[in-house]
Amino acid sequence: MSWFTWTDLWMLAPVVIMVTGALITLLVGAMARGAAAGTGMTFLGIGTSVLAAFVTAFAWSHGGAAVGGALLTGPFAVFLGLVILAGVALALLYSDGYAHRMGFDVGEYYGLILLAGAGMLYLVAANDLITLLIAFEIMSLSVYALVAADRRRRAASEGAMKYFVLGAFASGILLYGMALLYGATGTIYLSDMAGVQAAPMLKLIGIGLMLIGLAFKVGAVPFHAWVPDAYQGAPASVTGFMAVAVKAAAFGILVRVLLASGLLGWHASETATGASTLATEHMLLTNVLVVLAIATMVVGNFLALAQNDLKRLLAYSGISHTGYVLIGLVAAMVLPAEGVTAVLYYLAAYTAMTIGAFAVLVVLATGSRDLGPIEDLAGLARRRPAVALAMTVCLVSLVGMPPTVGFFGKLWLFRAGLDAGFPGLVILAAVSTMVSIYYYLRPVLVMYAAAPGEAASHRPVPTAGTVVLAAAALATLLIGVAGPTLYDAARASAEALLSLG
Amino acid sequence: MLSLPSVLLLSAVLFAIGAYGVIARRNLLVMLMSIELQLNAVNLALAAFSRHFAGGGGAGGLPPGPGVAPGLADSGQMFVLMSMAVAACEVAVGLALLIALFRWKRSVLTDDMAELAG
Repeated sequence: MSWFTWTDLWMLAPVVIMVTGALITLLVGAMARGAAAGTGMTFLGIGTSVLAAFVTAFAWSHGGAAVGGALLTGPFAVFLGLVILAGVALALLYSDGYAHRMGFDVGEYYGLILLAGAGMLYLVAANDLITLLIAFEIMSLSVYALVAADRRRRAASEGAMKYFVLGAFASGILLYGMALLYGATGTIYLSDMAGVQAAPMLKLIGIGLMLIGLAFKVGAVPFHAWVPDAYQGAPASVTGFMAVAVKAAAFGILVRVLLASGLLGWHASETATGASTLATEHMLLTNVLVVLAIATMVVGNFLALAQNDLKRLLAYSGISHTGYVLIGLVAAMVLPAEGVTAVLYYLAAYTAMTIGAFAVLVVLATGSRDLGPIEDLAGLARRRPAVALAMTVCLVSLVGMPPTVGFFGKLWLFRAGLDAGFPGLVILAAVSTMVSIYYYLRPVLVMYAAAPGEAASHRPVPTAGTVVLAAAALATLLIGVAGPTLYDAARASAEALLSLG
Repeated sequence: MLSLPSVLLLSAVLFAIGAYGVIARRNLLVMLMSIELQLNAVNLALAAFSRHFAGGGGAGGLPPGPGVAPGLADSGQMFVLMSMAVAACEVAVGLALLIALFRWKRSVLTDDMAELAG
């Protein structure tokens, strides 16, 4: 029996392309230095991601298990894969010039972004625990190194070390969860686990430990301690990348793990045997997710109020958005299709608006220094009205005001939460959204009302960064109102995922 | 012969010692060692489960997964090998970060890492 075929190779092609691109970039980076080499590598990297995106869309859209069950492709993996690759391409594009100015080793910097992208792509399609572990570590280790890319600032090393220690600790917990899950079910294939209830207690502990490990990665409270330090220590370009792409990949695999628990959308009427155990487990897992969601939203939003550093502010904002996405997972415990759709939609929306906000920080970085306190934006509306407008669009979308995509994202999440029967959770989310208006509009106020400070530079804004900024701001404005295309795609992806299980 | 629960208990104790080390110690090198201890505790559990599923004998006591050749059914042991490779990579990156940080701070104690806070 042939266990490796051409079809398998075709299914692996997106990951192979990304890794090849990363290796070529590393090689070129070892030979050529300078701004021109950096631009060359930017376009090499973008070419790689675009090619990988096309191959992903073609190879994975039919679905089904590949490579001996290691990958489970399908619209779900395609949707998240494209979101991740968009994040990779935009991060590469706005890094053009920035990476050189900041004095990074550009070859390694671009190579690591591509490698992290490969890991994320692999992760959202992973169906066995070994693949999951390896993909997760390719992603994590690349991102730890990226956070430390700026070796001339000690804050970068410190942030990277804190991220690494807590991340490795989380990996250990995740791995322990995988071992227990394997022990409880006797299989390493996530798609085979849902029905196995031989050792329900052990299985639930395994799922719970994996949940903790992944909660670290998405920055859910109380596992968020690393987020502010890593986000502030990392260069703005890396912070933007990890905020969107790592979150999308980690939530993707989190959905698959919850699906493997066999409790997603479980109803008392469905099964007769062992119904009481399952009912208890379902209630327990749902409550854990509810508590995580509430803690994450409240802590993220309230701590953001006290922040004055832009990257740190966006870090706490990222934590609060993790909380909103967790509402989708809570809803998915009762109504899987609606909940997962809302999660997917929100991850795509979050990518557009957050990349836009970080693109502003990247294009405004002066010399080799990122923007620090909010006051660095003072008078931006007079100096660079277009940049200020784009930043305003992204921040308004992060609040969730219509007609931006952030509003529609929150709408679907809240509606899923209401339909699933968690009105209290949704009301709390709405209240914390109102709290968030304060800290999101503070930068806007500073940009429009305050007079330019002395530090204001008159350096021309880099073209590549401006393109990213414009694209992200337009996407933020238009995706929501342009029609239900994104929602339909998310819905189809969610349903395909659920029908396979 | 050791029974499965006793090996799992040992694994859980080792994991707990590792977790305690990460949380309570202030030396980053010791924290890295504790993380390694955690990963090895997991490897022990994986190997024990694998042995258990194989009925205490050789490979292949399990029904194979989808599209898996029977020879590959003993996935727990493969898992251990992969996890050891991953642990090695993790240490490499961790020590590299530690050296980068040590150049700045001349210290490996977490007490000296207070530049970012709030």
